[in-house]
Amino acid sequence: MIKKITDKKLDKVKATQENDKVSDTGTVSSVSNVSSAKAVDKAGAISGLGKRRPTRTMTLEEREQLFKIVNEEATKLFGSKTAKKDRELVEGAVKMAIDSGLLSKKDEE
Amino acid sequence: MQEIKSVISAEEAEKLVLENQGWAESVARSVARAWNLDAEQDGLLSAAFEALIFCSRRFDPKMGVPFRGYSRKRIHEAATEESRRSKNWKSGISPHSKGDHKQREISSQLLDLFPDLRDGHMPFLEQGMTDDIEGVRLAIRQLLVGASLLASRQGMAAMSPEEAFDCKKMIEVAAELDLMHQVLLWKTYWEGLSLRSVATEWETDELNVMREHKAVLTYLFKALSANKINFEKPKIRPALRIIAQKLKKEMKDGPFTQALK
Repeated sequence: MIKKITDKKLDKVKATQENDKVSDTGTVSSVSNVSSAKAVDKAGAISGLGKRRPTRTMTLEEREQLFKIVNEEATKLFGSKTAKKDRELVEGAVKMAIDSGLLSKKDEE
Repeated sequence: MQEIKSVISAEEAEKLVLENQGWAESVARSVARAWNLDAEQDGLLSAAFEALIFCSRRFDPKMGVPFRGYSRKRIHEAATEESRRSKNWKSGISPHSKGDHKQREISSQLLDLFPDLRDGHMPFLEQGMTDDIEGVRLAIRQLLVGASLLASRQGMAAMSPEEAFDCKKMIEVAAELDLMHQVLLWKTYWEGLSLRSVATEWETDELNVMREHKAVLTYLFKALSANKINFEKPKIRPALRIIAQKLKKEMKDGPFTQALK
């Protein structure tokens, strides 16, 4: 709070962003992710969901690792007998679905 | 325009929009990235912004849900719905992406079946599962089987056998399942019902259907991987046995068994 009093560093976007982030609801950051799970428990409006716990949020930085796992599991599923076009169709669709929900860590905060 | 009953003041709603506009754009850009679309030209940014405004007016802080957690799925849905209406939906924006259309269609349906993906979550993590990577791996198996089922439906409907997904093996394996499990898969992947709709139809808790669905997909992954069908088939959980008995009285063969015939 005290840092809001003018200081060269305060002029930097980073400090301002930090201040904004502190006040930003979304920045309850990884806590907000945990909070999401808690909130689902509280809401209970959609029956049964309160009993599930989603994984932590996947981020864009993990995209390549996730795609690698998709490749590995697709290899187990399809082996060598499945036509390449069929495997590419399924694997590509799964990657697209996962990718569409990935935000960078910065955006998650 | 639908009238929205606001639970927060207009100023508070506007503040939420201003604070989260950049973030909402990021959600839309993720969809555009995944689907090889242009976030601006294909209207995803506008759709996301409208959804952000919509959510800001409906948001109730007293529910204890952070705004981004509350609004993310809705914003993502708006972006994906707009994508399907865009002129680039079939072709993509890259000259190399014309073949992606079928992948986009299947991935769009996967998002409806596994809505946790819209939040950047992997579906189906069980309570007590502490190993993230193992949980992610299991979830990806479910997604691969789900996508295979959707591709099989496309394959069955396709005019050209050369272009169609080879669905024979999937249908054969699915036909070996208990009748109720076949009906669950058929309703979800062929008729496009949500798991919640199936649960409503069966007058049971959604969680029962979700867990049954997960058990069936787990079995299908094993059965399809090993190229043989001698794994123990999933048993019907007690909460669904009455429905299973009812379905057996109503139909002799499951829909996949009928499809094989």
